[in-house]
Amino acid sequence: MDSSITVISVERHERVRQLLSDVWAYRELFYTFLERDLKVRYKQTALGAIWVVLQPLFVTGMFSLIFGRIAKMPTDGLPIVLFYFAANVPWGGFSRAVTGAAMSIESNAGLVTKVYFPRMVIPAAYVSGSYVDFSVGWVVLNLVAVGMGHWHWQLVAITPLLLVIQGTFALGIGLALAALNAQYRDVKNAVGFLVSMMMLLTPVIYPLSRLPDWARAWAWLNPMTGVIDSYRTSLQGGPFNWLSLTLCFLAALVYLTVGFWFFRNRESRFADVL
Amino acid sequence: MSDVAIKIEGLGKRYRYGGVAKLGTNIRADIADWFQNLRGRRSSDMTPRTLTTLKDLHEKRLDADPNYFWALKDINLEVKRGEVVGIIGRNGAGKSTLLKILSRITPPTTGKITYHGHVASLLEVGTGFHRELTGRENVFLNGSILGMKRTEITKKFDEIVAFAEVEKFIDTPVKHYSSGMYVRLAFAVAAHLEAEIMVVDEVLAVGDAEFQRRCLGKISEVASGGRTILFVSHNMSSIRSLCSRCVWLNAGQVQADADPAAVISRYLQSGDKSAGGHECSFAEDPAKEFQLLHARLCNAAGVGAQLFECDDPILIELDCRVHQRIPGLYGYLSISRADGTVVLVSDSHDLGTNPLDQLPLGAHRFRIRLPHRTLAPGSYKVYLNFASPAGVRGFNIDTPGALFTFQLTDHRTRRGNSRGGFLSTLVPWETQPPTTAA
Repeated sequence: MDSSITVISVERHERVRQLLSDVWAYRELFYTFLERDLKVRYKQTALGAIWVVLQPLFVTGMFSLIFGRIAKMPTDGLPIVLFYFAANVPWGGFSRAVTGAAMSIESNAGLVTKVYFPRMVIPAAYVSGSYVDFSVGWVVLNLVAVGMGHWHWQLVAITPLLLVIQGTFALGIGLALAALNAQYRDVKNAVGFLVSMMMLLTPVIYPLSRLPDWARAWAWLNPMTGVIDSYRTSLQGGPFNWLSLTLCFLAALVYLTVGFWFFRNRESRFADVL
Repeated sequence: MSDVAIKIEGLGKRYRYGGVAKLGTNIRADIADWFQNLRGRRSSDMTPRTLTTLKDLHEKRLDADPNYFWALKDINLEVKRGEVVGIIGRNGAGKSTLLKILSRITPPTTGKITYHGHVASLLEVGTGFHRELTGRENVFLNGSILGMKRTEITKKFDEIVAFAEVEKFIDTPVKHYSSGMYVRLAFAVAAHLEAEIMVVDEVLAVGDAEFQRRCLGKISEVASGGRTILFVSHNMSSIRSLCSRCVWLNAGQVQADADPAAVISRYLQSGDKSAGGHECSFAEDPAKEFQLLHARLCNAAGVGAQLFECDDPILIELDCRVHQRIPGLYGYLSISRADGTVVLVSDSHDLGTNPLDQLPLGAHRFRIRLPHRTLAPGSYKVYLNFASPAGVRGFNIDTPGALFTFQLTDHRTRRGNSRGGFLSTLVPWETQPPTTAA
């Protein structure tokens, strides 16, 4: 007979190692949530998965027209469409990840109040789900780059690192917001606004080179700056700012640690406050 | 040691009232809590002595705070391997809180639980079912949420679908299912959970009678398979038939813990003292010729109660006072179901003699006896009125109105609480010699 012993006590939730091993034990549930979110997202839509491509294309078209053609924003030597597409694909993934993760605990309240599992699995599944959209967008980005004669192998080479930074950052913020939103629904109202503000602070519309020197020195505080700038740099053929990328990566790790800590401290109370 | 499956020690849970308080109050209380925690924790890094004093102070403050209450306090239980323990108690007694702690959904405030073995809990059937997904997809989704491995679900898939009888619709989104199919599928997944220890909420209160019977069958199959089960229910007959032991929770504490028959009968006799619903009194009004002063709902033993067995009579005791003789005074009693349907009307002169007619001045006591096996299981309201065609101030002499509500349960017949209809009268089915005449 299985002699596994489970202990539930007041202190239980305070042990990180226990929590991480629980998360690992529930990895199948993580895949299940991921699968569910992907399956459900485009059910009963006429265009289905085409939306994944349509969204960044449309935004890129608007940006190119308004900021590129009308406002004449410099594009660091890249074709306008490519300049914006290279930013919209990662930004779209990031904003979907943060928004989805922030709402995730509330939108799964029915599960959280009825079944035990490490709550982190839910926001993590939303963040991972955003990679699927990203991948499709990324393939289109490559095609567009090839079509415009601006493709460079560095785009493919740098992507894994940038994805890690993006996901780490998104999960960190997403965990903190999800925990906060479980108790204070104010977050729900603020998150759209927050993501828009972050976009303005990130060189999506403008090139990083447009920022004053002092601002560029602190840009790594927002790891998405490094991510988006590096996609554009890769299409220009380099060279990457490795110092900045390292700082971005470290900053993302700090965000994740803080988000994780915050979430862990609150997760045991979710069922009582939802 | 090894034959203990669940050990609960000093378990308690404290809640703060007002989960939906204004944001400001919430945040302020949160910050206060957080600060206290921080102090408590920081002191734990220093010396154990400061920890106890600071924590004690904090505890004392919370205990005195009227905004906090104990939903569960000092629960100690030891469940042996293979035991099937039923948990009963009124609404608000702490059953759900206990289940939530046992299922790890919410942490305890004090104490600990030790499980020896793999635990699965079932507080609801169909948790996580998604309307847009097909039956097949939902089986996998729900199964993993309940803690089953994918390979395990694949292995049991056909069995689950057969149990639910939805083979033809397994690839249809569940939003097109009838509610019966939906519930059957949801229960089928849950019924195939395999764990040494199961914590089960009242999940059987779903589906049609036939399906309920099959679910009970499935659970007793599981129970006899040597598994340890904690089972919460309002259905006394299922507790009686499934459980080997019964725990009665009252106001967050264990009131009784013994064999089901003994605990259930004590529970049923206890009445609802918290609401005081089995007694009511009226202030004396000398202007009335006749008045009901006190009324009591009680069982055959004369103990006040609101929950009765169909097999027991229900007694209504009335203490009245006559200030003035009234010719032709009679009492009127009606019993109606929760939806307002009147199911029984009784006049005090129904049986020829009217004990209320021509009563001498002074105090009188009457007893109305509702015979056993009259009404079907369910909840009822009692209405009382006194009238006389010779009343000085009108036809109605005294109108106490709706006095009590009571519940009837039936756990001695097989049909039990799912009987339906209006009556619980048992009708004989007799064997007769076959007639030869065509």
